[in-house]
Amino acid sequence: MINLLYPLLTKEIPTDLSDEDVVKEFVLSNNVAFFDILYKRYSGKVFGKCLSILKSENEAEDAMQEIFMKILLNLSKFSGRSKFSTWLYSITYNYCIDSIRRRKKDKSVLVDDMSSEHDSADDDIEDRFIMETNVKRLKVILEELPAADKAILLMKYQDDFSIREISGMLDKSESAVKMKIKRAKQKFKKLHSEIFKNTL
Amino acid sequence: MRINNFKELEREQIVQYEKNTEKVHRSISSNVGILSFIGDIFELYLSRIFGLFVSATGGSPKAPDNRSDNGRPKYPNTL
Repeated sequence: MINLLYPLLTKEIPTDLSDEDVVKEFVLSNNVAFFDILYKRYSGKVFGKCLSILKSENEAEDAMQEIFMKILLNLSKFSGRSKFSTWLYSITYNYCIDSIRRRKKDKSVLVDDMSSEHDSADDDIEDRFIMETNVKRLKVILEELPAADKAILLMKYQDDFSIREISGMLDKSESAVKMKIKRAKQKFKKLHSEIFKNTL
Repeated sequence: MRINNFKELEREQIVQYEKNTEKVHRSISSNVGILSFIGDIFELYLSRIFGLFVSATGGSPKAPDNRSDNGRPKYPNTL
């Protein structure tokens, strides 16, 4: 119980600490106020990702609760080899993809699509096209994309993760990640032209 | 600056779903409170639980006596 009262008994905690320093302080003091700082910094982003992938507010809330409880109980195991945000998002994406896998047995999540129907070298899609799609359209397209493709596009364009970081998070080779990104971009473009064909 | 509407979408979601994140925060705080309470109870009664376990397995919760039978210390430097 003292851990809960600790923030009230101690002086104000500085909020300008880096994420990694906040984790260190939490591990040293077991003070939940440090966890609250991390929660404030990342809850909105984590919720947005959960919602984009799971498509339901209730499921996103449940997922976020589980993810942050997991984070809270495992903060002492955070080694600091990666950034805290990379660790958190890795847990978030893997949790959401596993949820979809359990819920739907979604084949795009379960197995790697090894078909080569879109693999021609001349259909590389520019990042600019994807990033400059306006927000309303982006929401519609993300709603339609399979979870695995959506997750990989969010990792690349929203979180700015490198291919190496994504490969570490998904436990796949860098070439497999590149191929997945390419296919996700192709699906994005296809959906864009199908849904907004009259407005192009 | 490069336009990236994925970032804009993220910003919109943070504002739009603030209530959801607050709701989850309350729920997490309540879980933490329960876990902390259970932890404190466990910590408080840990020695008794350990003694109970020792008794149940046929041992004696009392520490073994280091002294010799007639009350004299077993070793010269033992008080």
